[in-house]
Amino acid sequence: MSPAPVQTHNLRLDGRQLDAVMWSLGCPSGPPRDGLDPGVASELQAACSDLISRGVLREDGGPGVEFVELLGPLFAPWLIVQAAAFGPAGEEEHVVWVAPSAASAAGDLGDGRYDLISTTAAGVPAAVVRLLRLGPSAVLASGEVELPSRFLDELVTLNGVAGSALVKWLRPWPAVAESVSQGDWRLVHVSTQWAPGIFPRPEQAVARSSGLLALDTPTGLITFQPGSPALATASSATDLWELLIELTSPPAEIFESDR
Amino acid sequence: MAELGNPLLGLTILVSGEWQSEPSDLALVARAASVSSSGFTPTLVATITKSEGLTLDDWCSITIEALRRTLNGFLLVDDSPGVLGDRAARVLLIAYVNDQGVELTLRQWLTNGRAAGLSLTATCATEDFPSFRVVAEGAASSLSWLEAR
Repeated sequence: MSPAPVQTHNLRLDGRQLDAVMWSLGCPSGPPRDGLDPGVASELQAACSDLISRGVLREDGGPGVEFVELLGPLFAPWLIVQAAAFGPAGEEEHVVWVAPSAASAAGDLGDGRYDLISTTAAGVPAAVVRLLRLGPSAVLASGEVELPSRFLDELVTLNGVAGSALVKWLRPWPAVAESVSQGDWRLVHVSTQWAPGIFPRPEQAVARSSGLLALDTPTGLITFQPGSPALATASSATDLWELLIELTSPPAEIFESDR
Repeated sequence: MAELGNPLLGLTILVSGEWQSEPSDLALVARAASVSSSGFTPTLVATITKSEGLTLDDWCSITIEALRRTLNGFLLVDDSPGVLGDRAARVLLIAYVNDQGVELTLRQWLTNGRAAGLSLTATCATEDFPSFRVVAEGAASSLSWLEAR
């Protein structure tokens, strides 16, 4: 048997075009179908017309014939994965839409454009590692530090000034603290949003939706766990791989109604 | 725990009783007795390779390049120092896709002996890695190698 195709028709879109594709397909992570500002709706409609002329979308709003596989997971995804990184070098935000047997990713090229590529549902952890350019990291002395519970929220929202806030919590790992002081760091934030409709009880989707936050530096990787107190823990790329698998694997509750 | 071994190669590992060894003259091969829901049976394979003249770093680099060329969808996730049995090792974590289209995770320990290199390769479906990791790491820490003189 030949290997499963990893990619089919790829697509490069700017941000407005990506919004238009999601809007046209009714994707839950896109602009809402109703209640949009008329100016925005007009711009999206114009972008849709352009995409129809290119064969990406059909007149009825569905995916063009050559893009059914690529855009299929955006219709009604089981899972939406947001994979972001930010720090002194800039920001990037990628999205992966996961359906039961296929997935599509929008890779942020950093210039306002996105590459849409196909992958498999089981290939989502690998897709996230590739999109965020994660990989082997320096090994740190094991250890953990307790943090105020609100600190993780502040980290995500502080963005550019988070570095100075971080340093004082990194005493067990002086090399990492030095990297942060020198501006050689980024925060990696991967979050999952499961679709309520696939669970026997919709509220289970909220309980299952989760995320991971990690500090990525050339001198080591630290992961943060929410809680009271929150924890910063020395981690490895293998630890991160395991977390990504756990975050993106279909929860057992999904299959409860099949039993 | 059960001890599985290949007396010809002087290799033994400790794994739970749910693992079985397969006869081989060339390697110590162990498979989980039950097939995972992914359809892929987790495996542990220890092999001895001539590595005369190669440092561990050289051998590791050659191994990575060989795997990069041969594995579909090769992705090097981790490469770090570790321990195999009682020897210093390099530990790789690689994701790839097999010929049946199954996403797999391969964890490999590499170490050098006097005139040969020893590797332990633990492979599972990626979705099984969180539960398989502890099995693989237990096998790696328990590995015993009576190196031929």
